[in-house]
Amino acid sequence: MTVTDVTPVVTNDGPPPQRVALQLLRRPTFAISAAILVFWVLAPIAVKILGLDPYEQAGDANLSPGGDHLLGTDNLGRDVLIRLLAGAGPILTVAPAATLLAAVLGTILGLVAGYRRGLVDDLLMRSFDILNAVPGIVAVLLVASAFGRSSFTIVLAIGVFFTPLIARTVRSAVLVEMGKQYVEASRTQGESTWRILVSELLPNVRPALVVEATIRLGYAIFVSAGLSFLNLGAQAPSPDWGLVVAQNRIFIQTSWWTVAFPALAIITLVVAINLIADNLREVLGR
Amino acid sequence: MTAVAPPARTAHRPVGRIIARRLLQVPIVLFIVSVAVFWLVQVVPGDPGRVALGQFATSEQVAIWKAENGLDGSMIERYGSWLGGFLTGDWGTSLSLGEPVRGLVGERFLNSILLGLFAFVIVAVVGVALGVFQAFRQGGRTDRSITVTMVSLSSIPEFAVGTVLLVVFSVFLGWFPVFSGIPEDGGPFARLSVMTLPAITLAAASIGYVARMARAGTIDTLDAPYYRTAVLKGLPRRRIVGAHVTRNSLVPSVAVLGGQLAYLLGGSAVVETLFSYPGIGLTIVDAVQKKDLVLLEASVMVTAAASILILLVTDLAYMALDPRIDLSDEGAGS
Amino acid sequence: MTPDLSSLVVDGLSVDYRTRRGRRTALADVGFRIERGESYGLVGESGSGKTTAALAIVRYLASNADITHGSVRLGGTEVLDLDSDGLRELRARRVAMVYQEPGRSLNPTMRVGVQVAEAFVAARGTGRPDPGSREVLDLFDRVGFGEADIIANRFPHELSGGQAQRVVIAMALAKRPELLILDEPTTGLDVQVEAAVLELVDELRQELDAAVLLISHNLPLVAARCDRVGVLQDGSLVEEGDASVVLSSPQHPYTRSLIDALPDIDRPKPAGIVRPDAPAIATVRDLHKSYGSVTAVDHLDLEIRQGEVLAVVGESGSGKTTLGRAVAGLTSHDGTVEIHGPAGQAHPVQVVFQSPDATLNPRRTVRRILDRSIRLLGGTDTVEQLVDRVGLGTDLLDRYPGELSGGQKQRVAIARAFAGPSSLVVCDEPVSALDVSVQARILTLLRELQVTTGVSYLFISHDLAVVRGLADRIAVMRNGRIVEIGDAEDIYTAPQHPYTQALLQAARHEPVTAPIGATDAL
Repeated sequence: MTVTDVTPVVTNDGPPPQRVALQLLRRPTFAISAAILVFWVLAPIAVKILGLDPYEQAGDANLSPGGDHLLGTDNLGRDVLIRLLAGAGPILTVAPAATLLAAVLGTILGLVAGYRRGLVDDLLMRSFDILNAVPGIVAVLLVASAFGRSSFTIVLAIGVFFTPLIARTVRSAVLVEMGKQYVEASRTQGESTWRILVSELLPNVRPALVVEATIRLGYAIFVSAGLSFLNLGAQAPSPDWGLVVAQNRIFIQTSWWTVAFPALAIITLVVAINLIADNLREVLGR
Repeated sequence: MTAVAPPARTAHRPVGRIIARRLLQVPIVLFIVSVAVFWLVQVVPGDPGRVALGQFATSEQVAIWKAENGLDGSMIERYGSWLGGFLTGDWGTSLSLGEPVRGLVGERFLNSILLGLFAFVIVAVVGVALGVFQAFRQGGRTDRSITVTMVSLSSIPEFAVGTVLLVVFSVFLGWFPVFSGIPEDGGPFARLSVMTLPAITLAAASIGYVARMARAGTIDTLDAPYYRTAVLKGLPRRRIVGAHVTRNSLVPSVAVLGGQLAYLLGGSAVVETLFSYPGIGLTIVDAVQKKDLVLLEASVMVTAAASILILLVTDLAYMALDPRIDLSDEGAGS
Repeated sequence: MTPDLSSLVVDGLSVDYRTRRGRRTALADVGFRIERGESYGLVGESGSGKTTAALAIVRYLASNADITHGSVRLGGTEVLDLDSDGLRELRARRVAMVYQEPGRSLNPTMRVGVQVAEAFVAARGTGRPDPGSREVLDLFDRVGFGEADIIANRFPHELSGGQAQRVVIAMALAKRPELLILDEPTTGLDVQVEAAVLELVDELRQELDAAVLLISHNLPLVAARCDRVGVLQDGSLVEEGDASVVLSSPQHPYTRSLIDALPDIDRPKPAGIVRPDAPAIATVRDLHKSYGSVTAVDHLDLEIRQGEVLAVVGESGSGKTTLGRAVAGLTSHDGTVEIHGPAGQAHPVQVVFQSPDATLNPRRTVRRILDRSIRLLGGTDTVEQLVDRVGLGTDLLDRYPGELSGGQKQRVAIARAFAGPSSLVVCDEPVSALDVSVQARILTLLRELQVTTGVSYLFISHDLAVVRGLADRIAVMRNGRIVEIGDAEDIYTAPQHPYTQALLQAARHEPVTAPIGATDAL
């Protein structure tokens, strides 16, 4: 018996990873952003390898940019450029760790809430009301100041705070998939709940999750930089960008370079990450 | 598939019930928030007594000071007395500033509201206009570049944006003051000048979200079958845009605008700190650093209450605009 | 012959789409003519270009569409040459359109009375919409609404599909158009509602002496309602002629294949293998399911016998899908469902769903899907053997569902249901979402599998014609209850219940005269 109905040409769901990578690299905004991200990731490593010291006094205080010190020196005579490169380290460790924590917890919660509904689901939705009531940074601020100013607590605080947000996205994606019959077909054939969640739902939820996680990463940087700015994150004499801006803002009228460059550095990093997220979203087809 | 509808069915949304239900939730949430803050603040390392009296005070002096300020006794006792005071209007005296908390919080909160409203106007007008503009040029280069710019802008930490603005407009150009304390004698114009850079900084983060929603809502409307119907009815363009497109495309934006308003009115701690603007956000940060529990509790409560109320109003506006929306808790959202 | 000043003449119309993969021709040199007072049916399957034709006539094509050639003349006016003002006037006064999804074609935040009043304003060119005016209310009366003022105050989501479509028709009527275009106006509406809507359109056609263009995939429907018929295949008009002639003696091979693929409601099933005294494979007792205040299934009893095909036929809202889901164990319910399969079967009830798109996990290859199913159900086939049984080649095994056509996906879904031994397969509208030419083949496949494996089917459908070739017994459902049940032969030749009679009349495209109570949908 021959089958002659029309076969479509296009695959709409789930392009294989290699194709995704290639498509991404062909996009100019992605390529530039990825380059920027790589630059900042390598910067603190380069500082270590080249033996540069962000804490030593390298010259006279408050020198304007130029000459020996490309970006000038701060009020303690430290080279701004070296501190800038080293400062990428703190920001790039806390935020990704927090995001990863939120992603893992959030995915588990979201899968269960979406599939099972019931108590877990209700609690999740209620927690949203509470989280919405207190502005993000205040909540994290309180938690961070309560549990001590180590990187670990900040990772924990941001991670836990972001978990419901990721859980919500995952839950929405799960609910969409639940409406599709392939899930019901699995049930009629006796698939266990666990296998349905992991084998059927999770792969289909993954694109939404990846995009959301990347957005959260940008926001995690936003929050952790803010916390450093408010003196709740890194401590002096760390070259953390937020901390540097906070400490030097009183000198803004006389030594603008001490705050302008860290601010610009943050801008480039965050913009790069968000453009990467945006491109991922386009390519993964949502 | 169509559903069979009996002829006299009215889509009666129990608006009264919804409002009542949400209002009932307010004190519950506030209660939880107050307990959480109280507990967290107790756990904060550091001694308010020490902070208030300095390192050279003796332990007895600190103990006496604590007793005077109601900081002895078990946590539950202290919470109880705080709650009692709070509900009767006695919000206590700030441990770090020595002034009555109620007046202090009231004034600071008002400052944040003004700043927030200023920022909100910028966000709403510019954000929506941009979003709608983009929708009509969907897919084109203008559209994509605006999206990219907006996405970037909204993801940059506020203090970075603020710093750049300060460096350019205050330090280099001198158009605005560097520190935004409220001038005692200045008129409204002086106040506006002081609020401008902080407001722009606040707005920068929010515009992106609003523009994106406005754009998406407008595009959805332009793609919708009922838009086609309106066009094929031969209606004049003005009527189509005014009566058919506007309301439907802005409905999704209302939710985002409400969220942003709640955020903006809450006083951004970072922005207020950067500009030294005496708002409620700055107050909270200071209170945390100085372990001023009394001031802290009141500030957080006020902020939380305002957020909840704004979100409730947003939901109601949402329901008023779109007769299909039914938020009576019967379908768990999504 | 001089062109009649009041008719639609489409001549040599060609439309291309510019896509990422190059130019695609949607219409090639299509021409036809409709006189005033005449109704013309344009028939085609998905992708034939029929909607493109309709939109080209009102010039509402997508921005990547090019009208490369041709002319569209309404009366003396060349539509393709009109400027934007002229076009607006044409749409406001002379051409009206009725759409496929009436609910979505109405502005959800505007009361329907206002939307209809707008049509008057547009036709007049001036004034403000007045939903309370006499002319608007008269229009609501004319299209069959009992309480015009109440309906006019409603929002679209408060109306049923049939009601919404009447509103759209009212909007069209307001301008007293010369040309009325209907694009799949009754797809998705219940049989009675469909009949009523088409009756209304017919009355209006005579009243207005308007030219009517009816576009549909449903050839028998079009042939019954139109004077002349044109058949579109891949953008070309392959056959045209009087409706009855095209249906009874088609000239073009494509038309012939369409007609051959149509389920024949009057062709009895080849003798079945079911003994009348076969034991029950499934017993349903006092099954009851409600969603809030709506009762889907109302204290229902049913028995499915071993080796039989029991068809459950009903319209939307009848509860047939809920019944199927309850039997398959996918929905909670009151009452009992007992399956009396042989002891070894872990999962004696399998399901084939309606929508081929949602029925397979898009991130799994066919091989993995079927492999898993074989293991879960304890089947003995290899994957290759299984796909062969459903008529697919092994080259499809390593493809993803997104790379398969609708018919192929449905075959995989059927393979999944037959991956291992089972006793009962619930088929929930398995062919409703497929093109007619594919439907016939899938039905044949289902029939063959049933004969070779001896499983029972609970076959759910809204279409009596479709189940004719398959069913041993038929149960007719309405409002959650079974109103009639019996051997297929008896049901088709001598239906007892008025509702069954009405369904049969509608399925045969005869006027519905059976004395059923008026449904609320009207």
